[in-house]
Amino acid sequence: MIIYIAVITIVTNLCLATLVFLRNRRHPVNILVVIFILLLTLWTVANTCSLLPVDAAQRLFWVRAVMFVTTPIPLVFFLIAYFFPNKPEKVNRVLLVFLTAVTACVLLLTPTSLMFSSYSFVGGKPSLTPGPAAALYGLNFSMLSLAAFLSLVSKYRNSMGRQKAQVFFVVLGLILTVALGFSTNFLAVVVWNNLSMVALGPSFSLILVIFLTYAIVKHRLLDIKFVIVRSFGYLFFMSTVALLYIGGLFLLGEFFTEQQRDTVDVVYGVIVSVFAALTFQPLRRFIEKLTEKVFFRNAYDARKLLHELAHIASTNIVLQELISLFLKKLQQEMKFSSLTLVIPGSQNAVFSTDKKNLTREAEKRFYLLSSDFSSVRKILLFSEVPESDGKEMARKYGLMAALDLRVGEKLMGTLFLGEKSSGDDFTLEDLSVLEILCPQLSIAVKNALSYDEISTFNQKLEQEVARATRKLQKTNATLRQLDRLKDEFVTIASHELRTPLTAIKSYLWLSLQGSSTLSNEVRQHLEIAYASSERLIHLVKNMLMISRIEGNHFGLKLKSFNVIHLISQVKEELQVKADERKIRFIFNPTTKKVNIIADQEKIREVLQNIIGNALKFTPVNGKVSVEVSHMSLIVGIKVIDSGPGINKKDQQKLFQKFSRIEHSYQKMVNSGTGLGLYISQQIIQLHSGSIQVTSSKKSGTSFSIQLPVN
Amino acid sequence: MDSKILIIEDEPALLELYIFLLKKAGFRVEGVGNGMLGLKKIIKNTYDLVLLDVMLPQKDGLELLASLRKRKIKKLPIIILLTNLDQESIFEKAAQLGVSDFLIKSDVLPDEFIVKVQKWLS
Repeated sequence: MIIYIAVITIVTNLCLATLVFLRNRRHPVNILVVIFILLLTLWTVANTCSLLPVDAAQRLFWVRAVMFVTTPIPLVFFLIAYFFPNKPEKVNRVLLVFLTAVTACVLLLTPTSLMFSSYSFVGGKPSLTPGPAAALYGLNFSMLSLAAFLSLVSKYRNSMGRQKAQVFFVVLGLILTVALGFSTNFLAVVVWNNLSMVALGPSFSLILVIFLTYAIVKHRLLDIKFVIVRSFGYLFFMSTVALLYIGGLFLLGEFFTEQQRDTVDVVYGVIVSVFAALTFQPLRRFIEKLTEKVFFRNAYDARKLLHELAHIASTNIVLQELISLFLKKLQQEMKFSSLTLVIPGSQNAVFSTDKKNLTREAEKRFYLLSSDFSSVRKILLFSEVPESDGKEMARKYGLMAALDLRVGEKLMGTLFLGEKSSGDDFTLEDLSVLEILCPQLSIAVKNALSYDEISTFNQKLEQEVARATRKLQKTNATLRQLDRLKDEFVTIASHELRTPLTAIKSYLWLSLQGSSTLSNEVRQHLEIAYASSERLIHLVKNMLMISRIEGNHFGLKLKSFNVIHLISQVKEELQVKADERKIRFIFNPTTKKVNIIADQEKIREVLQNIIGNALKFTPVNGKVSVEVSHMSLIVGIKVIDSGPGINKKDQQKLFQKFSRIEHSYQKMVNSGTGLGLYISQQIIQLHSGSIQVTSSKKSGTSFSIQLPVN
Repeated sequence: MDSKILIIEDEPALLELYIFLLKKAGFRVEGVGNGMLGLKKIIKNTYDLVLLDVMLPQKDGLELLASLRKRKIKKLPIIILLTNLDQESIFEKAAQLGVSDFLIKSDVLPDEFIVKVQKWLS
């Protein structure tokens, strides 16, 4: 029986040691755990040998071997506590050397009689006589264990999440193993001289093994691979099934007959096989569920969670809101310590549920990390990644996995999953939930980014339009102001020009009228001066009018009047000029009355100008006639002269400002200001009418005006 | 022909011209060079006709007309605006303030000017 327990303990211990050693050969805790387990195994061997029915001398040798093997155990225990879970920043070398020296001293004393002097049988019961070194051994053991215990307890208090769960199981396992082993195999022997429980000692190491395994499987202790964790679950399931079948076979064998055991065994074997095949699937599911419950807490309803997340993804379009709601929900339900989403295409590239720790520096690091792992598809578990800076960083920020968000080939972002706050590992369900929601989130992020882009663009556009409008309004106001100033200037300037011109014109007139003593020559000069002053006054008047027409300050005073009457008046005024040059001035209207609605004075100016020009450019003894044609809505006025005509090229420029100067600096014989036709055209156009010219060298020139009746 | 005429005109050359023309036509004429004096004279004396410029120092023609209206003088003389400011808005405002006629200085010849005055005084 003792040997069976020993063999099971040794095999289990060696398996665990190999696993831990293979996982990370360089990490101090891994190495120490391996040494610790090996020492426990050696102790089991020595302890078992000491209990074999051999003579007292041999037994004393094995007892001393036990003492030798167990002496370093508290030191290793302390070192594990010292280096767990990671190497401290400052290693106290002096302390470590001192403790090692003490252990070495005790180690040297173990084979001597100072530890145990004799092994004897008192009344059929084995008895050991402890020496003074036994006390030193006990002191070393208990002090180091206490120190290790205290260190682990403080580490347990300061750790969080997964680490806290890990530390808890390691502490519990170590303490139970060390305390129980020390009590049964040292205290009982030395203090009460009771060796009856010595055989149990090594089996206590199984407690540590169980706790370590539990921590490895459930809380990823010592970075054991996810696959191994899964295999362990499967192994557990397989062995359970095997046990059940063996038990079933054994029970059936016991119940039924013993005589036909051989044939019956075969029949039962077949029955059991069929039963196994039939029950495999349901049993598997049941046991899987059971293992999930034991090892992983299944706290959320996956279907409900997916439904809610899909709802969030489909009802939120603003990136910030979408992500904050999505991450919050996911974190709440799946209980992650943190969730961080890196979206390179957005303004705030990094979003996290853990806002306190999301410093600028961390943001930058996350950003870099996302580019490190962006080539990975689906889910990346950091535990499965080879050691690298990225992995180191993931460890620092307590990250377990990364998910890529892709739409087609385009990478939208990376989601980093923190540890589960329960310390649990991912379940298969977790993984499938994450795989389902990944594309959902990707599409939602893509939509939100597009929306963000459009709304930013819209905002910019609005701002731009508002800015342009403001600028335009300002420019408009400035132009209005300028226009007003120009108008004012022209008004004042024309007034200022007219005043001295009035004086000149009037005094010249007086001089020409009043005195008859002037010589013909002087009179002629004064007449030229008088005509020039009149022309200048006319020019000023025209300039003022153009300024008003062009500045839209030219108001029309519309009223109904008889246009035939108006033409007659103008003819009367200009008759003198016609007579001077012996021109036949003809106006024979067919009707006496044609009423139009227009500005009478402005139309008068136009007629004075057009008819005046005709008289001016028609040679002596020529002919000028005015004709009126009246249709229902339009009145046409035609002024025809028998002048020299205007060539085609000049006709086009006739209605331009200072048209004469345009094509030649040579002045015509009868000079005007060159503004009259331009002003006439503007006035007619203000009345919604039109004016044209036709001319030929044979028949002279004719101007046609069309004016609407109303 | 014993009518009394006041000319309010700041341009000496023109003031002299109008005084000369009117005296020659047989009127009694007084002339002043700014709006303030013109207003005082109208209030103090009685005139048959006032020839009023618009752009004047101290008080312009329109202001003078407004002051006159406020004082509610019983018998106002005939007022003719005599200006070179060719602006419809001014004529409209002046008409509202009781002006009888407008003359554009640069457009009227001396004989036309006298004819106009005589017409208003007859």
